[in-house]
Amino acid sequence: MRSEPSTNILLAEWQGGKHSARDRLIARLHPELDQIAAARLRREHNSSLSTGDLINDAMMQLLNVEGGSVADRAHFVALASRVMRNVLVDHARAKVAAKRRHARVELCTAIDGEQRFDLIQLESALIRLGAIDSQLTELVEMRYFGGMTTADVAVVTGLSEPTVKRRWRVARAWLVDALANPIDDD
Amino acid sequence: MTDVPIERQALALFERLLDVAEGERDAWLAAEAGDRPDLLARVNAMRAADRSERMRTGAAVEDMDEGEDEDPPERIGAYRIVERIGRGGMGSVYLGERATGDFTHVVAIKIIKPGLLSEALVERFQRERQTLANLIHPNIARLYDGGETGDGSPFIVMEFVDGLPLLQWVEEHGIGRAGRQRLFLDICGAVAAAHGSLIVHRDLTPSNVLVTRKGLVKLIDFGIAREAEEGDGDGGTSRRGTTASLSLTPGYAAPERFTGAAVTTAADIYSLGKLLEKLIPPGPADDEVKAIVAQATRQDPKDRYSTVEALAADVAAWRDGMPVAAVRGGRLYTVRKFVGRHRIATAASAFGVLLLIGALALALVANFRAQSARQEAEQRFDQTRAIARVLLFAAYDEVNRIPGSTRARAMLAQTGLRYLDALNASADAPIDVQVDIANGYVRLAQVMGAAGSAGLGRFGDANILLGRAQAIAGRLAATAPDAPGVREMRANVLAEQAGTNLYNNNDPALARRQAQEAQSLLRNVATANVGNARTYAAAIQAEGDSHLWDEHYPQGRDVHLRGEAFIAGLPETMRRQREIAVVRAANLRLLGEAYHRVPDPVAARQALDRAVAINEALAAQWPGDPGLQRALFVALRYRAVVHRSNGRDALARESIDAAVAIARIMVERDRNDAGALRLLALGREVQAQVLSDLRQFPAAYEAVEEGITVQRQLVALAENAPGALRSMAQSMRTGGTAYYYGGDYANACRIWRAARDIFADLERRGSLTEVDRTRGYPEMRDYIRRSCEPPHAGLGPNP
Repeated sequence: MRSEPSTNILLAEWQGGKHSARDRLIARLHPELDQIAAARLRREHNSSLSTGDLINDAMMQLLNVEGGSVADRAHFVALASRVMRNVLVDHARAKVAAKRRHARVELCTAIDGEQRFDLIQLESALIRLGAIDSQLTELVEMRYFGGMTTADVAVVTGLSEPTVKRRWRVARAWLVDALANPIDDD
Repeated sequence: MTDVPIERQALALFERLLDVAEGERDAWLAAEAGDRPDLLARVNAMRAADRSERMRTGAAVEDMDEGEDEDPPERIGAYRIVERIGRGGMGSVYLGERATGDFTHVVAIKIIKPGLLSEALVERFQRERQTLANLIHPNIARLYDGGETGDGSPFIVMEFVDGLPLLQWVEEHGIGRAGRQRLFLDICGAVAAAHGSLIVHRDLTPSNVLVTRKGLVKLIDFGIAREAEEGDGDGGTSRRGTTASLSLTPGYAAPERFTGAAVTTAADIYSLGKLLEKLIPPGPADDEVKAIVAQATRQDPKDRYSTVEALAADVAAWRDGMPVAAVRGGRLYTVRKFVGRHRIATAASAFGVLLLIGALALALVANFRAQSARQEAEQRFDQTRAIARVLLFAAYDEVNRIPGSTRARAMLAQTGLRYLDALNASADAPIDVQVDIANGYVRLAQVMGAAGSAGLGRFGDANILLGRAQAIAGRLAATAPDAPGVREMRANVLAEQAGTNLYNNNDPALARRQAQEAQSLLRNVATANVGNARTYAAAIQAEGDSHLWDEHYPQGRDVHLRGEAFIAGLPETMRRQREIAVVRAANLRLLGEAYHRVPDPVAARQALDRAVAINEALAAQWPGDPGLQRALFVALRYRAVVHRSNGRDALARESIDAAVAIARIMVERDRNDAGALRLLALGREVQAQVLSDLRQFPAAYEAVEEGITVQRQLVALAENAPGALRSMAQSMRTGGTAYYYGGDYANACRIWRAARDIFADLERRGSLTEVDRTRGYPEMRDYIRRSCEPPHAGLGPNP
């Protein structure tokens, strides 16, 4: 017998409304995701994996996958998406600090169509969006940071799939515009 | 700082805007927020941002990574990756192999870098995949499969071409002018074949043309270039005017691709002209090739060659030392050449009717080509329009009655499309012509997309065609809403879109809005003539059915009742018209379904009996019409399902036997008609259930086996398309259950295992639907686990 409850049990407790279970889940997820993200960025990890795959990896390690229901899995990934946001933004900040210069967000400079976001700018825009409509921020966490399918997002939010798609599109449009026209906070 | 209240309003407004038809958004916004410049500015900023596709699902890690070099995945779908054979701006190409039976199937797999294709483009590609897979031509690299890898990178599995890019090949092999002309004509032949299948390449460049060791031309990357047209996808491919567009190769891309104007076959003609110029650089005295290049690459699409065939004819003329049309303008020579080429194609189809139509059509192709002079534009429109009408309506219906005419119908539809596109490319078309073009596209979409024998079952094509119709409808709604025929045309487009979105695209909410909008457009003129009444009734039917799709049966029932009341209130002379009777029967069938689900068994039976009776009368009045036969089949089969679930086994048997008999006759008429085969499979599936209820097991098993055999045939016809496989797995699930009821557990398990293997294969290919994932697949595994190791009665009496 292990003294710590299994992740599956914590997940059940959290869904049952127990907040401490969620915190323990996050505590368990954070180092796992942090390690995975760091390895990925150092190219130790198979670098063709997307965020969704990375989270899936973490899930495989933490969760008894056979046992969980679709809803369990979706809720777990949703939680992991939020943790992933923190992890990635932390990594981005650390990287900038290490380089001692601010990586400017490059908009509209499409080389071969490749465009990347500056996660730090994105984070500040996300915080603003959260103040306007927190559900949209959650959608961004789940879709962009978590790579979740609209079907899974629908399971977690209780919204219909078309609504998820439409709202994700709204969030995306707002953010892309916000990044193109940043507000100088400082 | 952010003004939170305004931002909230802007977000809400933008979200509602997404449900407004593309062409009507400006007007809608002006009405909603015209007096609020601050709000309007915010919404418009979001609309602009929406056109960029920068934020991709799950891309967070990649976005912070400067990763350049990625390890190839070990497997893609069913293929093992052997090695990387190339990489470019779009991504990498790998050699893949798959052991199938005794030999190894070698393919090229192109994995596109994440983020390069918009979600809308990926969606479009998935829609068109079947069309692309059916594009079989010796000079086009065959597309086998496509999908998304685990990390969301789109991939394409295609024929492996061991060759070099065109320009490199001709240099290395020291190919002279004659050889280059031959290569160019082969390229034209491939592009013309694609255009005939409604596919525009969009990015023809020398690097997309490979030449094999044996000197065989192979075009690659058909249909995957980004489209500049307005789209309605999730990512919002909207007008993009920047060079950031994917595979918009400067120097080859037609100018309209930069402006966001509709991209038609004319864009490929432009690229072919540029390619010709690179392949055979004209010397100072080469007036003819210069003229050909100039004609192919005119700024205005309508000034270019109207077809690839016409361009090829000119190149061939130049090669043969004949006069070139581009030098002197339209002339008899080109017409003769054109007729000559087409006569072969027409004769090969071996239908007298077709030959006749072919001859008629050719005269008009010539006419269209020759009389491009401005002052004759009116006449040109009228004649081309007349021929498009004949082809799409009268001739199509005529040919449709000939058994085994699937190919002929496809050819007619394609010819019709060429006219419509040619007309549509003319910016100066009068309003009545535009109305006609839009209605023509709708008709063509019905022909292409309608499931079963009435159409060609090409859903992707139907979507594209309706998109073109919608573009015209949107334009006229803004510029000439009250011109004669515009309102009716818009309603027609909307009603058809509603049907397509319901039956092909699985979007009931959108379908419902479109159906309601169609009704409101016609509200005051719904009974003015048969055409309007049909559109109006069809829109009500679609609205009702959209509720049924959402499993809102009482609402569906009420709408279908309204539809029946509308039709019942029409004058007798109208009600007797075929098109009205067809909608009435369909509406009653759906009304029966709604009653059945509510549930109200008595009302359901009444409605279904009436639906069957009307369909029987129609089928008797127009014997041999496949559309009517199909409708009768659907009504009979559904009535059997309802009888069965109400325990009326004998009546169920009677109804399903009649349905199967109809399907059988249809299959006899054309053994390659996938629509008819599908009906037979669906009929046999229900028949097996009914027979097993009646405990007539030997007959039930026979129905099961024939149903599965037909499903196999369908899978082969669809070349292993996931939809066909899924449908076969579904039949197997039901069929195994019939065996199980009969106590033949060994056969039940044999079939369930086959179904499970199909689901597993679909999962490997990334094509498992959500329903399969949560229902079909686990259910099969569960049945097998509980009663198949070894086969026994493990599920109890009622699996």
